[in-house]
Amino acid sequence: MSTGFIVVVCVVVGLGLLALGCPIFICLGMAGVVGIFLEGGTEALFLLPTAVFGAVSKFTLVAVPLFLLMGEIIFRSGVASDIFDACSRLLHRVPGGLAMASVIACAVFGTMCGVSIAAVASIGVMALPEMLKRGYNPRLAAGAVCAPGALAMLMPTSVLFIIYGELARVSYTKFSVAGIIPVLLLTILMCGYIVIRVMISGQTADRKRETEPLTLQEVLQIIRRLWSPFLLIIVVLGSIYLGIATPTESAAIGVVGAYLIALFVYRSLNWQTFQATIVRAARVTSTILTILVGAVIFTQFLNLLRIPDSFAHFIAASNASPWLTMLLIQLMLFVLGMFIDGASMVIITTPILLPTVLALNWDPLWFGVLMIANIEMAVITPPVGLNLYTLGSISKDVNMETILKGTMPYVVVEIIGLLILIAFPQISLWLPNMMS
Amino acid sequence: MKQVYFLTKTALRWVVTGAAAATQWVLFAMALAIFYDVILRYVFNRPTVWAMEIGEYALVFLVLIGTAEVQKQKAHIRMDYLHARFSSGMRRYLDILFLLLMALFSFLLFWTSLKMALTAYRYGFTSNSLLETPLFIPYLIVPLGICLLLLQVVIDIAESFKEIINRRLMKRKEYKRQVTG
Repeated sequence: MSTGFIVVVCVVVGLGLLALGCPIFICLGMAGVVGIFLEGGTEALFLLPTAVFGAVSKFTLVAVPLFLLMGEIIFRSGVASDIFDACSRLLHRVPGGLAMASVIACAVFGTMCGVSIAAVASIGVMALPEMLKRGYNPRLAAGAVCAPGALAMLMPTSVLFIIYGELARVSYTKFSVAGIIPVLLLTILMCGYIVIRVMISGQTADRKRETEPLTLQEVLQIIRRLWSPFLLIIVVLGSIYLGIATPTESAAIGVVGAYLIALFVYRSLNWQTFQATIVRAARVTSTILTILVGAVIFTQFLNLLRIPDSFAHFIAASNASPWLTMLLIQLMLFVLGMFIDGASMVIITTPILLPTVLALNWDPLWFGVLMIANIEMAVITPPVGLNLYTLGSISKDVNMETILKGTMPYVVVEIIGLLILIAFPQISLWLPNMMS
Repeated sequence: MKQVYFLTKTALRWVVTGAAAATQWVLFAMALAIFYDVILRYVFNRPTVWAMEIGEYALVFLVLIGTAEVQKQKAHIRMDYLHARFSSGMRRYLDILFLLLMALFSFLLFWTSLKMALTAYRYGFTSNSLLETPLFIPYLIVPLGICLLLLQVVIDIAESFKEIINRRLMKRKEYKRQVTG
């Protein structure tokens, strides 16, 4: 049977099933199994379990459940309300300060917990009612929670980073810090958007500022409440950055530290919350990495026929401008992101695109940042935008339409951010290159 | 017959829930073990020989033993944009098709991975590390987890068919009632 025919059959089977709503790991797994069977016969199928076992039993990937667990503990500890409180007090004299506080709180909280919807849920549940109470425009308020929640995905504690690092065979230690400056950039862009929006808006409530200045006492109070989670995040990120511990080890330190903070500082850890943390983290790990099992099989099939390599040769030989290629790839990821969640997208597309990235001499670290920055948009674009629905489900005060209209400008903001990241690779690569 | 089915279903629900509980504790133990290793390495300069390797096997356990529970909760990630727009009848038949595919896939993976574990046992393969773990033990996690998934899927298929048949019967009864009434 000709190679082309096999590829077409398998891709059609896989995509068809995917579109109809078959669980993703089955689409990938079945397409892979059929392809491998047609190409290599029954013998080839017996090589699959070794590949699956090899792909899952990786020490780097052990960081996935650990960071998820750390995120769950932080999520349930009550740190989020303190962070938002601190941000809003620090910014309370700036026009649109509350909205900016929400953006910054999402970024800071995201660093600790690494899960986009957790940031939306925990910051949104406080920030949104507060903004509405002060008479902010509901669209502005909803957008300022929904979009920045996604910043969590570019942080070192994000699962997407671990998975991309593993699949692209880049050093996760280096890669994990690559997202920090891009997050700063996006945070600044989002705050910039809020300033412009508030300035041109007719509503005075958005612009109103509190008059009394921040007292020293207040600052001390903020420090007293927040020193422990900040110490935790400094220890976790610092130990990765300075090369003292591997990311997996740092994640384990993070888990123990987060439990201690929840237990002794916030006193929010009881038997029930403890169980909830391990239940959630274990289930989400299995859900995400089961897709990896399917993807390993699919990738085995693709590699058997050398498809990613042929694709890379084709792109390299076509003499298309690298910029155009990059824009086309990003456009494809953007469209895919409208329908599929971030982790699945990284798992499916990385092995296919990696040879192309290498053939075009792009730094895989840089490409990873771009891919995940693109996924930032995926979670706020309909029809499948997890952040939109998360905010919709936690808030009774704003409806889906308001959330959607408030969030859409941020897609433009993020496209601008993405273009800046494409134009200046140094933004993503400076920090990793600083590491020895 | 009905009773046997009911018993099997209940037993399986217990097994899957128990397996999921095991994965949660494995996760917690894994976090502690790696933390312990870090402390030994950096404070006492005497790292364990086992923490890293056991951590890797624990991850395999977490993923593959937990996947049956994810199926039980109907939580496997899928793209449901189109799916949610089909008629309920269409959805029901599609879901059965997906379950059948899942059963086929699990069966293939179960069979091949069992063979992998048996081969490792027969030839006494050990891991390439200080620990020299007999590899058939971690390898066995794969067929074990996939077997649980397969059983869960079989139950799901039976439930789906039961629902369709019940629906048919209800419709027929309603129809008869209308005709006689």
